[in-house]
Amino acid sequence: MVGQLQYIAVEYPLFAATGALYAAAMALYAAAWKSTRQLVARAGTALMLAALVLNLGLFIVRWHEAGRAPLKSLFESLVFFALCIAVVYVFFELIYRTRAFGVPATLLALGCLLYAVVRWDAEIVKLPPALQSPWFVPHVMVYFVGYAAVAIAFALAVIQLLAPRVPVVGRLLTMKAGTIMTGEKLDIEKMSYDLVRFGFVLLTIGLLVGSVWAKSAWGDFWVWDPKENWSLVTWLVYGGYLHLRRVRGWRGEKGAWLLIVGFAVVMFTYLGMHLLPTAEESAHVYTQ
Amino acid sequence: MNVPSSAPAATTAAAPPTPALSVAEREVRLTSLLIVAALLLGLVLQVWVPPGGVTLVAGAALAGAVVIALWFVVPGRLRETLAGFRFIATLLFVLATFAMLGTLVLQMKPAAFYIDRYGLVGRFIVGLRLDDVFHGLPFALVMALFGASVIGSASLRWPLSWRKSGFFICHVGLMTSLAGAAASATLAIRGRIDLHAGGETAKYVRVTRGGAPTGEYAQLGFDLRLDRFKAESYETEYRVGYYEQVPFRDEDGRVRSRWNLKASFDPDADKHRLPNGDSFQLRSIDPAAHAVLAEVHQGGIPKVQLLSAERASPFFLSPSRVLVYERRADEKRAYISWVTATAAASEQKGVISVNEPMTYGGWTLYQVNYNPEDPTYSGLEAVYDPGVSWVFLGFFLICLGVAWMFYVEPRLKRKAAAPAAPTPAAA
Ligand code: HEM
Repeated sequence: MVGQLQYIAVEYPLFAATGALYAAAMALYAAAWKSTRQLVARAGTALMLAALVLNLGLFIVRWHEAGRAPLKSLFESLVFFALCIAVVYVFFELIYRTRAFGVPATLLALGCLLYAVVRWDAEIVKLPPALQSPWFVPHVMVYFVGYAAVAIAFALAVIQLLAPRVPVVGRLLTMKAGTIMTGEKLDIEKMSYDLVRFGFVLLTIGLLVGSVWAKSAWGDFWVWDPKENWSLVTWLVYGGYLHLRRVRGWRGEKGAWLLIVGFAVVMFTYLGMHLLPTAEESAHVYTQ
Repeated sequence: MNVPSSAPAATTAAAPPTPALSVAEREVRLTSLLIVAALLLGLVLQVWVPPGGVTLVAGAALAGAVVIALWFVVPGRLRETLAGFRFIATLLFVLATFAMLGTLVLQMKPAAFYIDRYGLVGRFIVGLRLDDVFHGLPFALVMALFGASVIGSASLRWPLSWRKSGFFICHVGLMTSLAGAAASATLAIRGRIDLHAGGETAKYVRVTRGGAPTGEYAQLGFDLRLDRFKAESYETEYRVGYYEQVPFRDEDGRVRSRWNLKASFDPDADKHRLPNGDSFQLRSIDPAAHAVLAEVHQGGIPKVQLLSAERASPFFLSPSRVLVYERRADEKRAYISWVTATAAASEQKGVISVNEPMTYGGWTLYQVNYNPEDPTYSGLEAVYDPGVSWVFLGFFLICLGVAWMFYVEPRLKRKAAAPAAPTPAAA
């Protein structure tokens, strides 16, 4: 493992630096939970932005090296997923004016990169004919931005569930010092709802673009491929959430549990396809 | 706006001996009843009506019409339930379950396949027709409830207004997509055309269902000739590869081992680190002989060895790790067919490649197969599908409607409302 880490640090320095910056941003966001000094929290945001820029650089350099959009292998998609999480989070921080959730966001982005280390497959592979389509890039990009939004919604749902049970977490939502720019109590339920709405629009567009692409590549807009089916499951689960939210009793913890289920389905759709008995027939499975 | 489940439970002055069901409880009961009834009825009826495109579409249309008729005649909570958020959310979860089921059981294989593969469970799969869940009556009846709910909820919210337009656009989109999908499921024909370059001509399509030939043929309505076929490869590449031996279980469950490529490097003069902690540098590179002279550092004195891509000459870093110089496997970049379609008086030439089909005479032709042993062969898929544009139009409307609902309607509502306190959302 040490050899592997050294290899990554030497051969993929930009990747290693991006991970280190996310970790540093996380540490500062965590410190800002305690510290009353604005500077600490601001430094967290600054490091997050720096990590985002490096992550973007990683994506662009890889695009240049591969001579195609780097969205093919698991490694490439994880790097892009981390980037999307960072971008969505930075907008989130700007819109809601809070830094209370910097830790879970950086944890998600860092988690992607760590998983990329564990399942290392950074070899550049050629694009097979089926993926050489103008729909490929928008399809994957739209999905990952959507996934990033629901990933952050998932983190908020976990915090929402822990808040009444774990005092330290509960303090996050009421805390006035350090991290919160406005000093107002946070409506975490509304924030995750907004994130899901945004994510849902993108999942809908992703589904549409995917089916248009399937038509041009395979001759059918829907072939009941496992990945297609599971992305439909994802869409239906979040569609169910959006409707149930208007039913009495589903706004609080039940809704939060649904977001956790939703994200579990997203993760299974993304990473679990090889576990299905129907995977052998799928055109969508990441293999090593 | 009608929000059925938000009404508080009925309260009476004197407590009745058995408390009346609350509105919400009645709605939950009716929702479960309708969905379970649809599933059970579908399961029973499919003993006589096997799954198929027509079963799906006719079953859903007929049952949908019945539900809509009931909507108008049955008093009580049926309408409110069918058009309510609880019902539609439950239906969406049921549909999600169908979609999951379709990935747990391979679809549309011959009955013998399931019995061979899963034994008793296979018989259960075939008996319940889980081998074709998306064309069976249980699915059709659930879709009927879905369609009735979409239409019904829209009728309750009529007339159209700017502030509700997202909801209407979304629902019109849903129905357009479903209608298009129904047209596809019943009217579409797909099949294969196998051709050899040099003038071989096809007049028919070998019809397939779920990818397997049905034995039927469909007339193309024109002659299709393959003039030329080409499988293009990416440029040949030579790289330094680092392999590790890893164990795996073969088909019979025996543990064996194989070499996995863990890292690879461009042949350049830089010093490179390997995943096992060793490092190497190429002293010289001979592009003509496809060979490199590698200096490997494993602690101690560096070792030098010639690595050739033309003959086996691995450098063993350890018994289970090697460094090699190799030619990358031939990777295909494109499969291209040049064809000519001839109808009575007209002739059209076209090029078909993966992702770039050609449409002629109502058929769309796709590049789907080739044979590495026979460079003249090209396998095409021919599809006649009158529903697909409606599906996409519907999908586009859904995207538009959802985005409108989330991002435009709140602004319209805010504008319309007095600048005073915001109204709380419906519970
Ligand atoms: C099939 C029956 C359906 C019914 C009866 C239904 C009903 C409704 C209604 C009444 C609204 C609220 C509109 C308003 O605020 O004026 C709504 C919102 C919505 N519908 Fe549907 N819908 C159905 C299907 C779907 C489907 C299949 C989807 C896509 C998954 C969908 C997506 C949405 C979304 C995203 C909202 C907005 C929810 C929110 O603002 O929280 N609907 N639906």
